[in-house]
Amino acid sequence: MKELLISLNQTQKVRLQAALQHLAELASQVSSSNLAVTVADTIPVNNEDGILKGHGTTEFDGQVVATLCGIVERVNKLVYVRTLRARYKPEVGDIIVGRVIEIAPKRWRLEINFSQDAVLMLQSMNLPDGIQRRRTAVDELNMRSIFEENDVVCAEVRGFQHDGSLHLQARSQKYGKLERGQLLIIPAYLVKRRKQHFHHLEQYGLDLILGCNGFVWIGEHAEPIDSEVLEDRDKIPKDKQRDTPLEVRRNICRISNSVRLLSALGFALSVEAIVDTAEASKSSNVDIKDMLGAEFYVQTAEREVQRRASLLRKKRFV
Amino acid sequence: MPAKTVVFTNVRKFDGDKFRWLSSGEYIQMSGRAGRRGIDQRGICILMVDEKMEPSTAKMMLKGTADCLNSAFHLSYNMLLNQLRCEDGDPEKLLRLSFYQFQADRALPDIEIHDSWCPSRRCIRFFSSIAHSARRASLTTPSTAASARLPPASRPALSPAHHPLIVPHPPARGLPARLRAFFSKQVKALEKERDSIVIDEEESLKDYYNLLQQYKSLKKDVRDIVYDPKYCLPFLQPGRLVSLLYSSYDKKSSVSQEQITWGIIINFQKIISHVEDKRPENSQYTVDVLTRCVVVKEAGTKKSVKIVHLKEQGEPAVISVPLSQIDSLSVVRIYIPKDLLPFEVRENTLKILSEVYSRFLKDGIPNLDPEEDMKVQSNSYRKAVRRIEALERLFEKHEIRNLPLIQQNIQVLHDKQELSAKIKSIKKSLRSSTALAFKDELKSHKRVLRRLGYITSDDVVEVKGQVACEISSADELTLTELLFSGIFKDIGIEEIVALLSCFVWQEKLQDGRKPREELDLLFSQLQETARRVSNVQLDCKVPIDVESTVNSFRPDIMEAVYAWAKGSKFFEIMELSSVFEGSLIRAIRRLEEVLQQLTCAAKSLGETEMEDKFQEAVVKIKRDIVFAASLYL
Repeated sequence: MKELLISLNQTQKVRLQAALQHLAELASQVSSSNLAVTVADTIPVNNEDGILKGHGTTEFDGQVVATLCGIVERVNKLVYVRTLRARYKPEVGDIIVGRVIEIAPKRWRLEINFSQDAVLMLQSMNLPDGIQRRRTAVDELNMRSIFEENDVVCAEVRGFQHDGSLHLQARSQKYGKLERGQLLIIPAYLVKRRKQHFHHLEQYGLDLILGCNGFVWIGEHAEPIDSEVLEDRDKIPKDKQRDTPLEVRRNICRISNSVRLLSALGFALSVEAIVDTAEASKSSNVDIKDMLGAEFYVQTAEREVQRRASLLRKKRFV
Repeated sequence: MPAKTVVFTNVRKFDGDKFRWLSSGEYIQMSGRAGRRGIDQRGICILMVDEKMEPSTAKMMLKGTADCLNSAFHLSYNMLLNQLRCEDGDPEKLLRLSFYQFQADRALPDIEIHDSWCPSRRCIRFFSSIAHSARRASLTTPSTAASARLPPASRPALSPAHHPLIVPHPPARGLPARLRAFFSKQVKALEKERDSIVIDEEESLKDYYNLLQQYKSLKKDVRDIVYDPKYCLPFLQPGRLVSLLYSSYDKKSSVSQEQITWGIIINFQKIISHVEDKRPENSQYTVDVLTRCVVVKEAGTKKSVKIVHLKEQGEPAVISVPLSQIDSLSVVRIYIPKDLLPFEVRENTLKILSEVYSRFLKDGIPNLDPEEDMKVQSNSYRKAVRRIEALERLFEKHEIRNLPLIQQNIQVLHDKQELSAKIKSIKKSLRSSTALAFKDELKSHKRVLRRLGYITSDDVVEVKGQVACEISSADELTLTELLFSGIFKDIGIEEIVALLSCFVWQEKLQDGRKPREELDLLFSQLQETARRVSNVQLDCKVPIDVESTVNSFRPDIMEAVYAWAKGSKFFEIMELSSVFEGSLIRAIRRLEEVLQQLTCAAKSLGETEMEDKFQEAVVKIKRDIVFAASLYL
């Protein structure tokens, strides 16, 4: 558990302790034997033959040894370590949010919390005019008009090159520059892979993107631009001066605070959990700034205990 | 390779059996090469004909149609997994936009579609035929002649901008929607028509109608029992009068009705069926009956015989009718002359029949009583008879029976019921038209992937799935399972190559030698895995034959590939197996492809030792003549 920067009074401390204790018990009921290892721990394999040593493992003196901290997972004969607080490990098809750090020939370099910078080639993204064509030298010179340094960009992992570098692609209207919102950086393991990572929270007028790399974007909802509307593009720059309404700004803050809160508590982030937390803060009249306070912090932990307990009960009945 | 001119040095081609004429599809494909894009105005095609050719053969070849282009699309696990791991990837959407789906939609029965309703459909057919003839014309003749030779009606269509029908929408997406709209419109129209029919006292009339239907079906049941060959065969003696059902076509109301006439039994025959069944009561019989018919003789075709009523115009003829066409058997038998061949004899016999008919005109010719005469003793018969009696009593009590316009009303109600049935059937076909091709397959494939732990219950790809994503050149499920069973870990590189050769070799050899013991052991492990995977698929309702799938992995070239990986010369490995050189080279090349994919798979697992092993295997097999870019060195 991350070191908490919140001062709790005595009763709150006791309540939090109890809630965390309860959560640990529930977790042990659900999964039977999750072996946690640190670097150089031996992973017992019972002398089976043909063990496949996956990520985070190596062989040392005839034994399988962990090279990362995390939880040992097994699939048939494959043994690997699922890391918790390591850097993000990309997989093809992941949705990621990143920040542009450099513009290189025909490519942007993005920081995505991977062991190296990701590469977004000019040719692997849709041009703003939406026309499919060869990229010319002019396009190359105009790259800065698409993304500049420090822009926040959303893209999809395309694959690894032979030299091990990571390539991204943004071949759809929903990928691209993200504006008018907040970027939060949380541990990547808290974002579970789901079918959907783009969420449109209609009741708040927000877009929520849970990047698999632990970058979470909360911003004002932007309608994807259809190719038919492209003719009216000239009007859009004028529109740009428009300010985000105060109500939407508040919503952005509320949602991002619930993300902060959940990640501080180490709970997996799902859109339901985030919205639940935001709704709970609203209904109990907790101010946005007080969401990160001690009282709501403890309340959130207790609510999670209840939720998981009821889930477990349901599972047993089924 | 672009070319200006195509020369056919011969118009015949060896097809493995004999020299045959080129087919029109082949001709189109080959001559289509002529003319370089952007350089030549037209391509030239020269045909060297060194023998006499029938005009019809030439026409078939030069002006025949192109080969059909049918989608061979199928759903593979690899494709499905690759779709599932992208956020945008929606396998259903992919299937819906596929050419396969388009063809399936087009193949929907269009019997009920009036042309006025479906312009898009007509337009497509029209357009494709135009495009086709234009293409054909440009292949065989200069283009100026082509447009002149097209039928005048279709010529404007060559400039689509002026033609209102061609422009509107891409057919692939528009067609199903259009069809749906068409169907629902038709349903609405029919419903309106149905609702416009208003009948007085509809409820009671419906009641009566239902009774009538029941009565009819019961009568039929009784008839089926009584005229079962078991009971009626002894009574089919020559000379017995029978009443026959025949359908007469009423020109005024344009409906065909079942009517009854009389005839004389001459003989009966058993229909010889292929089914081996010795009992007489189970065979089919036909009865030869003398009755009045109209014989229509059309030039060139077989003459057709139609039964008409005794009183109508027609000639006496003996025809054979199935037993089911006999309505009833009468008690009356008349003497029939021995020789019925002369026309007059038959005419006279029919005269006797008419005489009998007119004598019994008052209360009809008496029929054989099923119970007393024919000794029908079956419970179902008695039950049916009792029910008929009960129904008859109900009829008498029914108040509606005595209304004046009962017959017309019944007819109207009948029409209304027919309309309802039609609406129902259209709605059904509407549902099937929206159904996605491969829908069931998609479901069962996903079930398999879940069962084997490739994806989670909410369609997120797991570790195993990511490995299977990399493998597209071999059976992805079996190979992934094999990889995860750790079999590749303990065996040498040559053995790995030999084992993988079973995935790429599909030809069946008659006298395939068994490989040596250690390779055979590996092969049996492969078979075991394949059987397990196939059984899971079968459990998940994928239509698959477990044994044939297991046997599709062939061990025939294991030895040869093993030797190749060991560094043997190509002529040496050719001695080890009795296959064609080309097949072997193809197999080894495919093997290299699979090894590359396995390298990627091992990389995504993070298993570096295995990755190195597969890479080394690639190095070992990728050499010499097998991987030469061309044989013309």
